[in-house]
Amino acid sequence: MTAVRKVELLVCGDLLRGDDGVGAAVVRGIAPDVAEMASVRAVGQLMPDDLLSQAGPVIVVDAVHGPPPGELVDVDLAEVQHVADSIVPSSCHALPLPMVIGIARHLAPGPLEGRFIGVAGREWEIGSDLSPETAAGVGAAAVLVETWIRQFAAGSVVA
Amino acid sequence: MHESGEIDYSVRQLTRVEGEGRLTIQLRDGAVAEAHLEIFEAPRYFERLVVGRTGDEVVDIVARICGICPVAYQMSAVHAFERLFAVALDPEVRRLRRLFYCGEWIESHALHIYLLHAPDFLGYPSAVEMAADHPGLVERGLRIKRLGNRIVALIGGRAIHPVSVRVGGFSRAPRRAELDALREELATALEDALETVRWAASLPPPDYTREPRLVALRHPTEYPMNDGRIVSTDGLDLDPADWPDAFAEEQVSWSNALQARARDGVPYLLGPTSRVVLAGDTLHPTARAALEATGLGDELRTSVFRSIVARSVELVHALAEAADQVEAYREPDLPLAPWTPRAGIAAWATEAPRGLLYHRYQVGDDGTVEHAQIVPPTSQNQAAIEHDLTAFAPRVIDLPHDAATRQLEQLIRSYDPCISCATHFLDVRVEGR
Repeated sequence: MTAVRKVELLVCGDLLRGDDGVGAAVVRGIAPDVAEMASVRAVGQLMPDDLLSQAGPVIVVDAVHGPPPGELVDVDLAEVQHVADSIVPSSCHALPLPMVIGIARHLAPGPLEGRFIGVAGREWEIGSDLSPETAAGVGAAAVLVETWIRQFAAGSVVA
Repeated sequence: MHESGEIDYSVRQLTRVEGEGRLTIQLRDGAVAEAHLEIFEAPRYFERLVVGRTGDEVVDIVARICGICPVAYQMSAVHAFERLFAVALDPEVRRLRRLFYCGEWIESHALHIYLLHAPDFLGYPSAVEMAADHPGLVERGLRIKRLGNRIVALIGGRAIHPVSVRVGGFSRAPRRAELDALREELATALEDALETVRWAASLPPPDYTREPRLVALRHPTEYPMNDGRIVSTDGLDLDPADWPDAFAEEQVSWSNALQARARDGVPYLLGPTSRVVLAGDTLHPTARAALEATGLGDELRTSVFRSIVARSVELVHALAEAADQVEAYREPDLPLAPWTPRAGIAAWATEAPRGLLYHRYQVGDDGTVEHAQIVPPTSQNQAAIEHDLTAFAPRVIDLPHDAATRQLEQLIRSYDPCISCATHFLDVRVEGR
C-alpha cells in the first residue's frame, strides 16, 4: 500500500517587514486539500534543530535578496550552499542558511530531504505591505509549494 | 603595495559574526600602523523611525533592531520610559523581566560559544565542519539555545522580536504552570552549562594579553541586567541615564557605525568579561563556584580570547538565576501598571549579551518621541577591537594570509560583535608593508 508522508512546511520571515512576510502569504495561497498533507510551522529564525524535528521531508519558505522581485527560487536543501552567494534569505536568521542546513545534515540520522523555496523581495520596511512585484509572485510560489508537497507526500511506499 | 611602501592587508568578508563587515590593516615599513573595522552594512535609521512614536510603539520598533538580542533593546527602552513616567512596577513584573533577559542571554551566549566561536579554538572553518567531528558539542549548544528561545517566547509571546513588553509591565503575564514546565529543562541545561565552563576553560588561547578599561553596570545585590550603575575599572560610577557624561559617539570615515569612546578618548571594553570582572561578586553562587574552579579569574581580565570562559560563566548564571526566578514566581497582581506620559528625557542602560546598551529619548508633552539616541554595545566596543587588532596584528601578519585571517577573526569574534546592531562587519585587508 502507498502511505502519504507528512511534509513539514517551515515558514520564515516577519509579517511586519514588507516582503519579508511573503512566506506567510504563500502558505495562505495553498489549496486546503494540499495543505492538509503538510504541517505548517512559523519558525522565525531557522535553526538546525528545526530541520531535525521530524523524520520526513521539509520545505522551507522564505523571502530572498538577489533575483528580481517576485522571481522564485527552488533549490534542493543539499544544494543551498552552492547558490548562497547569489541568493540570500532576507529573514533575520541567527546563522547563515547554508550553515544551518550544513549543520543539520551532519546531525540528522539520515539524508536531509527537502526544498528551499524563495520569493525575491524588494521592500523590507517595518509596517509596509508586500511590494506589488513580490505579491505578483505569491500565486506561482504557492503552486510550486503545492507541487512539492504532493511529490514529497507520495514519495514513500510502505510494504 | 603603495609607492610609499605601505601595504594593505584585507579580510574582505568577516565570517561568523552577526552582520557584514571588513577588516583592513595598514602596514607602514613593515609595522602595523592602523587597523580598521569597516562596517559597511547600511545605516538603518532606527533613531529616526521612532520619532513621533509613543513609548509602547518604540518598544515594539526597537525590538526589530536585532534578531539575537531584541529583549535588550526592549528593556533599555521600556526602563527609560518608565523612569520618566515614574511608573511603579509590580515586583513580579520586575522578576519576569529578569527571567526574560536570562532567556536572551542563554540563547545568545549558547549561539556564540558553540556555533560561532568554538570552531576557532578547535581548528574548523565553521560549525558545519565541526558538527561532522563533534556532533555532541553542537547538539549541546543547540539544546541550550533552544531553551533560551523558549523562555523568551513564553514571556514575550514569540522568540524573535517579542511583542508582550509594554511600558508599565507586560500585555500578558505567564501563568505559574507555564513556568513550572521549564524546571526540568533548566536543570538539564544548567548541567550542560557547567560542562561548557569546564570545556571552555580547557581551550588554549593565543598568546596575547593587555589591560583594557572595562565598563559595565553594577548593582549592589544582583548580577547586572536591567538595573545598576555604570562603573569601570578606573573608578567611574554613574547613574545609567548619565552615560553621555562619560562617553560620546563619533563618526569615523571607514565605518557606517558610530564609534563610542570615553570622553578622554580611551577605548573601553563591554560585555561578559567586563561584567564578570566588575560584578563577579554578584554572580549566582553556582556560577561563581564554576568560575573559581577554572582558576582563570585574573586571566579573564587580560586575555580577550578568554571571553569564551566569561560568556560560559554567564551562561551558568543565567540558567541558575532563571531556575530561581521560576521557583519564586507568582502571577503578578498588576501585570500592566497604569501611567501618565510626561515631557522630558527618558534614558536608561541595560546589559545586552554583548554589553551595555544605552537609550535616550527626548519626549514631548504628548508623550511621543522628538529625538532618539541608541548606543549599542558593538559600536562602543569597536574602538577597543581596533586597538586590540593593532596590537595583535604584528604577531600574525607574517603568517600565510589564511592563517593570519583566522587569528584576526578569532580576536574579533571574541567580542561577539553584532554588526547589524552597530549600523545602526569581516572582509580582512592589509595595506602597505
